Amino acid sequence: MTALIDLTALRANLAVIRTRVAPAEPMIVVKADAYGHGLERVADVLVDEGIGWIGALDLETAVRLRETVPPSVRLFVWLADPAETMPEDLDLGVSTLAQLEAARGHGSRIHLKIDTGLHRAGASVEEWPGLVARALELQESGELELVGAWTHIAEASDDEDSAAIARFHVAVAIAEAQGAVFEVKHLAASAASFARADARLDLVRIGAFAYGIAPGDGIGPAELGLTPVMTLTAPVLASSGGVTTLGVGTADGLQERLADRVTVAIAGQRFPVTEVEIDTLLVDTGDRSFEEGETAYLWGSGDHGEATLQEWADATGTIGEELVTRLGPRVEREYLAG
Amino acid sequence: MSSGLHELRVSWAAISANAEVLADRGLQVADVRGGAYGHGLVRSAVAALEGGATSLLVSSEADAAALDEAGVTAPTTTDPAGLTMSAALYGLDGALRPAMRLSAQVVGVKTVSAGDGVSYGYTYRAPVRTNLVLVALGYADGLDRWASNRCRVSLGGAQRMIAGRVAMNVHVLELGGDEAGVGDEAVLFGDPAAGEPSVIDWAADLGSSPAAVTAVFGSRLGS
Repeated sequence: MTALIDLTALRANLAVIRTRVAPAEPMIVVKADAYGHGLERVADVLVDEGIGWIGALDLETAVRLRETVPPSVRLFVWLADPAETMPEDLDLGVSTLAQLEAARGHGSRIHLKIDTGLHRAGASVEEWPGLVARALELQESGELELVGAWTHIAEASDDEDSAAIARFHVAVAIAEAQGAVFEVKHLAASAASFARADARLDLVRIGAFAYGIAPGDGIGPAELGLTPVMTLTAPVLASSGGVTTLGVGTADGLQERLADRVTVAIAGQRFPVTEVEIDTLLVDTGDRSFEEGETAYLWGSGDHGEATLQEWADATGTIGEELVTRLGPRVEREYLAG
Repeated sequence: MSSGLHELRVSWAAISANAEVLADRGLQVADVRGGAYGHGLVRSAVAALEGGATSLLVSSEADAAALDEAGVTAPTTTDPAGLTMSAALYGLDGALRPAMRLSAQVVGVKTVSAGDGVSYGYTYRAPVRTNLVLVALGYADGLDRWASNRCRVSLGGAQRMIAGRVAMNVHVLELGGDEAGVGDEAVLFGDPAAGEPSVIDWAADLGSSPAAVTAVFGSRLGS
């Protein structure tokens, strides 16, 4: 089975994103192997397109990128194993005093995180002034550089997000009163960056939209001017008596609950998936049968009659990001254009 | 495993011991499809053969070639017809010993007030003031997003509900009044004989099969 990765579509999405979020700058997020699209090839395109910020999430990804990405491109890390040694020259998201201490003396540029309601990471309102004060002390002694303030918002409702944005501005004002100067303030991910001008600030963190993955609930990539980057294919292994077997299954990351909820396209026609097994998908092809080796299209651009990733995600009550990041290493990535 | 943030361990001894039990019952073919259901194709095959299996059921000719290249000389087939050592070989049948253990690190702690929402969409609201931990395992690691507000993870000797939506690289657990620290180990499933939760219970809460659960985690996090 092969995921076709259309790098021309990635470039087109980057252009749409830049126009839409300007004058804010996009940070393109490449966590989880660039959302299953392949880290190195995606990063090459980002650099070639002049993207100035890349969101790496973890140290392993940042270290891999630092070898090929020019030093002028900022790499943002916000889930670091405290036991690991911090590499030099990274932008680091920090929520706690302990994380701040771990970052000392590595030339890190620090982005302090305030919790504005998501309640995953980020300093509480009570902890925030102490975190800012300590960062300023360590900056004074030359052990790090304080460059950013940031948060995650929950995208639960417009009102909830407005409240979170207001809490963020209060926190920034408190820090500035303490003497902090922030080069960048950021809080929006894909959806908010497109929907709300007041969420864009200096920098927006874009993952899903760069890959042409829409937020769902009826909104597809086309409504946003985006093009799906990944098309997932699998070969026909056998076909007889109305049952066609495809070579992709749960061991590749597909979920059993997709059965009876999604379709695949073979020879331009859609057929229902009836069962998801460990290595195979069973498809009801009615009175049609197909040659072994014929290509079936699961989700993608629609060029071969297949459904979109969004339709697959909506069918099982999830989001496109989950389907693409679950794909395992047996799924080959084949790159189109560049 | 991809980093110190989570750890996937497989007991080859458990697979060998299970194979021995199943061989005594007359089964000879070890099912190592799907990368041995995430337990690792070659090492699982070796362990099963050591335990008494005499041949292997594989996913594809490519897997047969990989085994051959690794020096595994037992005959292989891609035909799933007939009785095989399958789920039971990996302890996924509820009787024999589970071979896979999955744990992840606590990377954050916080306390929220009654009514506070947690994670994207605020699908969870704290019923009372409660402690929460952030655990470094998410849906990109194979933790099904369907587990949100549905499955439990063991931490500090008790089972804790996943609070709010599982995110790409993290999830949140509700601890009530109990406390935990950064660096503590949360166990998704392991060996019930050692007091750890069972992958069978995990899969049941998820509405999935245990073999599909281990296959995905193994493919994402296995060595």
